[in-house]
Amino acid sequence: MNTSGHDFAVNVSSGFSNPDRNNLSDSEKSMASSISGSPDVPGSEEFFRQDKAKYFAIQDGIQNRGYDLGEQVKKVLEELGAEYKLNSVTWNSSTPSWRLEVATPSGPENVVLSWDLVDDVLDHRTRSEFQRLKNMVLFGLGRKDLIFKR
Amino acid sequence: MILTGAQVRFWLSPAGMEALKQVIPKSADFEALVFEEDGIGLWIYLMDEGQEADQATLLKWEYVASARLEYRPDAPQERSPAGFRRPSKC
Repeated sequence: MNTSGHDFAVNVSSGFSNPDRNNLSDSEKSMASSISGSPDVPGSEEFFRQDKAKYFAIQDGIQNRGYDLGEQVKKVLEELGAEYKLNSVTWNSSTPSWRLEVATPSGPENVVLSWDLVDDVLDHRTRSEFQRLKNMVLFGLGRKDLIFKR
Repeated sequence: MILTGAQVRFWLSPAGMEALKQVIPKSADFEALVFEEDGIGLWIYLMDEGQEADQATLLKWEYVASARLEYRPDAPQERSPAGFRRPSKC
């Protein structure tokens, strides 16, 4: 769990069992040599290490996006009252989608947002895009009454 | 245009009116929230007092004659300078 000064967590799986960005575990060294075809190929571990570092840099970008998304969702929840609180934002790379876990008066609820909706909102940052995000959060929390309220 | 998350007013085609007369009996146009879209059509939530709380409706693309949604232009956001400076006069 990572909160980095926020009051909600952003979960992004690194895909690596060894979280050390700079040092390879024995199994990673073994994997590096098997990918290169031979343990004797010079630099195979270094290539693996570089690829791992690139992958972690991508994950860092996704995590920052998660914090940005969470802050936008918090603004929506503030309008619903103090009983609604964002607990976590989780990136699911296989779907690909974001899952929000929100504490509500009736217990924790999950809201799933597609990556393209979230990218539109965070990249364009227009009122129309923020309204789309708000509608989907309200819809996911069963507060459809507030969507059509004029 | 991606419609997911948008409130849209739809007008049904004649085929749509015929096909959906059981689902949307009142008129040829209606407002709905789009919450999913794919090649077949749009999954929508209709704001209808008679509808059960969590019913989703599939609106096939072929049944849509027209659609309208609100568009509000935004002023560009202020951005910090990219680092270029006006050359100083000699």
